[in-house]
Amino acid sequence: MELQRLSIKLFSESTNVKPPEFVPVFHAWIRNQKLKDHLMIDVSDYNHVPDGPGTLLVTHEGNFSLALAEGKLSLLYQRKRFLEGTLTERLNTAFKALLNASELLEQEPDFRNRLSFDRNSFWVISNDRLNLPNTDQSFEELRPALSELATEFFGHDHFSLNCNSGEKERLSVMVESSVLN
Amino acid sequence: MSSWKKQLASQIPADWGKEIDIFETQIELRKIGKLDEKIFAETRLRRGVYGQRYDNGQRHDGVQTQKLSYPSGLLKGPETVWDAPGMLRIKIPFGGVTPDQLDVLAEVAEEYSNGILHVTTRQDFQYHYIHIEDTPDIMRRLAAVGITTREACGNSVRNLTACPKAGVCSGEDFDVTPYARALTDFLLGHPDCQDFGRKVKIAFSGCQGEACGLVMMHDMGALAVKKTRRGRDIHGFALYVGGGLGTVPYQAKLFDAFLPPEELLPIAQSIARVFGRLGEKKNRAQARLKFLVAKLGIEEFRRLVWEERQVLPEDDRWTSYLEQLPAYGEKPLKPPSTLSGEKILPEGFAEWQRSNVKAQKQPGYAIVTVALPLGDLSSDQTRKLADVVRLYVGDSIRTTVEQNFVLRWVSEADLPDLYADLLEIGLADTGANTIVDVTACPGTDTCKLGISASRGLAEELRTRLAAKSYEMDEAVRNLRIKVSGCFNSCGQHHVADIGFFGNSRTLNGYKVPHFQVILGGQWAENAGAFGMTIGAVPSKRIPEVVDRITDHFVHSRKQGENFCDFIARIGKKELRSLIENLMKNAPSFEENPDFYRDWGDPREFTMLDRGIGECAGEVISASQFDLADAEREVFEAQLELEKKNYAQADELAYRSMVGASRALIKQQYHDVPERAEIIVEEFTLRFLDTELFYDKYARGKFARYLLQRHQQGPVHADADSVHQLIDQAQLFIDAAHACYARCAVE
Repeated sequence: MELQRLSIKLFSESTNVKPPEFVPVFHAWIRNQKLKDHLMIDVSDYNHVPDGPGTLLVTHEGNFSLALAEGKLSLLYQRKRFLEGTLTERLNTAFKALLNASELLEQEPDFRNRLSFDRNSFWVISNDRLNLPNTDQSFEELRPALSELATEFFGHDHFSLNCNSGEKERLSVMVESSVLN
Repeated sequence: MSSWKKQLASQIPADWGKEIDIFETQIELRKIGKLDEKIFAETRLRRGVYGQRYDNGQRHDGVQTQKLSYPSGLLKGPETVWDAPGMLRIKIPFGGVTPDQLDVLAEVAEEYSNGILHVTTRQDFQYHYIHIEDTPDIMRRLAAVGITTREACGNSVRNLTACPKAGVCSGEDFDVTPYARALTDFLLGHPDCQDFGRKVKIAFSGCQGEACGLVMMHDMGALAVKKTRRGRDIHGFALYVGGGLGTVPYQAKLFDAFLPPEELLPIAQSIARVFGRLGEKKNRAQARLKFLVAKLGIEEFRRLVWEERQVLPEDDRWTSYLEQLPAYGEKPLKPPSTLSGEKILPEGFAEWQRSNVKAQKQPGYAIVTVALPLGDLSSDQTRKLADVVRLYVGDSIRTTVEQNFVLRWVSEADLPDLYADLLEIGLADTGANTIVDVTACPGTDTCKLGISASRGLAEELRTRLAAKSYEMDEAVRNLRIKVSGCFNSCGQHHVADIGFFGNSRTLNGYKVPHFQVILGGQWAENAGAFGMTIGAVPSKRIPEVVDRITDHFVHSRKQGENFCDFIARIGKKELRSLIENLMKNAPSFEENPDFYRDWGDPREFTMLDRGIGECAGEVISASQFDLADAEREVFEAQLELEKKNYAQADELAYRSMVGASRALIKQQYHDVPERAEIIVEEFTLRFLDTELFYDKYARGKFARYLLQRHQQGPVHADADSVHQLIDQAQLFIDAAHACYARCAVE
């Protein structure tokens, strides 16, 4: 499968951190070269758009955004540039980028004890309607790689994969652990 | 990487598909260094592929300038790094867009951009953070639903704008939509529009009195005029030329008070030819049509255009669309109705109805404005809006120059349900077309030329004004605020009641973002007058400027006096005194560091991030484009040779030489025919007989390659002979380049 453009999302249960608070944090990340494996370019604020990307850290390789989705804070990594390896390896690389960003954000002094991401579940989105359209067949094609990723991340195979994105939306799969941490 | 090319082949018009394929090849040519960066820059601009802030490979982080080390060292234009994210502008003629197009626009935004569609002040859409190598596929996906990016930027005829209420407005003389469509189609890619020194902007308006078409601030503006002769309605246009905003705004001049529709297209073509021939090409700051009209005077300009009109070769397209006009008209999805007083209305509906809903000229229907904060909406909202459009009006939706949408043909009884549905997708903001509905260009967010944060300021003003809109005096409520990030006027600040454009001042040894205050511009009467410059105020004090000016207006205006008249009456001195203390007395940096930052940007302000703008494009002559095309064709010949398609390779190599000859002839006269026989004959006459093509050492040797292939026809279909022809074609093109350079110097 040629899927290159993919997105992965984590949600947070934190209710007292709002997306605009990440604007100065991301500017500081650029200044301090916080992400070693990404060429950070700029920060964009789209918090005036409901269901939009919120606060966006634009990098050459992929964008990180913090937004409110269905009332919950989410961190999304949208991979843009080419990734090497098999689909599982590509998913792993993107997922690691997301996890790394989530950990760095949790460690930020401004968010310490206020921000935590829920790592019992995550969403994988095919950002490529040509190579992986939103169909049952695509979901089945994606399943093995996602299962591999989930097994490695959760450390067990007690998880579920659910896809219920709307007809016009991108293929979007929720990976959820059945064992709460 | 896979591509949408095959998948969408049957859905893309053949000529559009071919153009996109050519652009894709040009990208490849640039990557291997076979296309000059300046020519490539103007080529991509003419396909809507624009630069974006920080694409020169550096960015100031608030403390120092950091180098952005992109993987590729390649450039896509002067000081424009290949891998840097860019902007893609999408033309939406007269703002007309369909739900199916909205669906695809939404898909593209989330797959290649940041999930945001931005509506511009010229009814276009823009995507930001696009990688250039994704653009051919994006273009294919848009082309498959009838959208082109061609000539959205660069020195070309830009998106043709028109009143979004055309056809449904009670004040119009007639619906300008089919005329706008016809002129758009006629001028798109027209050979007479490929040799401009700068861009040309055209607008249509259905009436004199309202603002919507903004005819008076355009290079060419057509205003609908209806006359009655012998009891019959006759349609025509008051045609205006030479208007424009920019650093120094110009009001358009009347070219013809009543141009008949059959003359609209040929006169536009004649204007394009006169502008292409006489317009300034070297001094970019003087290259717009407005300067040519001012230099020649409207009488002389008019005389030249009519003189050109007399010698134009006849073209069926000038009038063929007129035959279909009687059949033109939008069909409403639903029957007309009235809003029953008994219906329980949703909360907030009354306020929304007051500002966002207008009666249509057709009884029982309404025009609804969907207000977009800063002109932005998300992919998700766009898809849902498309469904709302389908449900209530079918396909009648347009973008506006105030960065909103309008839905037309809303059956009045549907208004409460429509409001509820818009509310659910976050698109029911009230205050459309009021002081709350602030317009802004991209400014420092993404524009290379931006000085101050126009969007940051606009958002701040919008938030503050929305909070107090309920208690606002009606006269203030109806004012308009427009913000540009620099003096180039993309935010149209000159024609706002209250306008701002970004600049900077040094205070206490620090650069401080400022906005120049412009008051009293006239939005009505098609942008009938420009505002008065009052003074530059630090960015963070602009909300206070708005409060003071509006308060003064409320308290000091005469009964019935509008804002423009009020500003003209009290004059610059008094207005300046109102805000003078805001211009001075800056706090120290230590006391208030926030004063030294711009809205929405925590970095200390700097001017160091400004780059070279691409609005002016590169001045590339039609001959240079043809030579670049010849290069592309010989490259494609090599590809065909590799695939063992010898006949195609032979034909492409031959065509590349003919094309290069045509480029040279075009230096001498513009209307070069397409036929190879005539081109070769003209080339022989003008460049061989005169020895202009002769190289100092090789003399006319390379020309013989063309003549030989032309006389003998296709070479034998074997690899060696085709290979040889391709080599000869490359030598011929190299010689043509040298000849072009010699002639240009002479």
